[in-house]
Amino acid sequence: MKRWIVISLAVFLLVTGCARFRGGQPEPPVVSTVVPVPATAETALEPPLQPSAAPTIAPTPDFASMNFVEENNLYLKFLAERQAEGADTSAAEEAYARSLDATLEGNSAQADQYLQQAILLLWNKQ
Amino acid sequence: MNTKRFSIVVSIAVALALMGATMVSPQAALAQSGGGSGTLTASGDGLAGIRGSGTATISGSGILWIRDRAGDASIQVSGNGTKSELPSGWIRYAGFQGEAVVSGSQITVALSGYDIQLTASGTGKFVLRGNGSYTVQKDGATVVSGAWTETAEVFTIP
Repeated sequence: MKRWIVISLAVFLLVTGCARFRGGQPEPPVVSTVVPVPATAETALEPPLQPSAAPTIAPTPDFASMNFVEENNLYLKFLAERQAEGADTSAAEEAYARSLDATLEGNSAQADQYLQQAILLLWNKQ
Repeated sequence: MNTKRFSIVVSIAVALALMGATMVSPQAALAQSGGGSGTLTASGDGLAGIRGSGTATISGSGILWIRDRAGDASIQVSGNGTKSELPSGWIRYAGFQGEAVVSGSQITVALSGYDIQLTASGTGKFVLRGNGSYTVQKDGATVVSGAWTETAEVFTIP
């Protein structure tokens, strides 16, 4: 009887020890003492997460799915918005003037390139 | 693996061919040289531009562009818009809503926006890009009519 108690106790201690060693059995007191430390660690951990969480690669207009009128209207819309905000839109307007010149010469590829450049210049100011 | 590589090569070739076609076709349109005389009437959304000698009346909303290469133009603009003169010679009216009547020997008039109505008589070339329709009349008869184009195509007033 006594032997069984000793064996049972030994098995229990062994199982408990193994579980703790594997981390499967959390020890509440230890965790609670650790918790206050992560309070500062959390703030320290947040900044590294920001680049991936808040993408710096802002979505750009999907030009491939737009026709000329849609792109042109997008430019007009952004131009009106940025000018209302008091932003400097001169670079975008110069690009649009180059797009107009290319259009009048019948150069669609260059006209589109400058128009999209003008849109992106306004887009990046938002 | 070979099939995959072949597909990639074919895709690149097709993309290059499309790029080439896009770059070559406008030059073909530009190859139309010379000028004519007649009256162009157009309406639509997008960009309407004309350059040459004569008189152009244009109305609508958007950005109005005027350039006078000869320095002999008569320019009358009514409506709303913020005027600015660019170093490139363009006179621009941003936030334009109204009508402009421009006459001269080497004028360029364009309106980018919507509800565009253009009437031009004289000699020269025009571009109508977007959605709309146009008619060219000469000696009282319609000689050309069509729709605005998605790409920038330069047409001559016959």
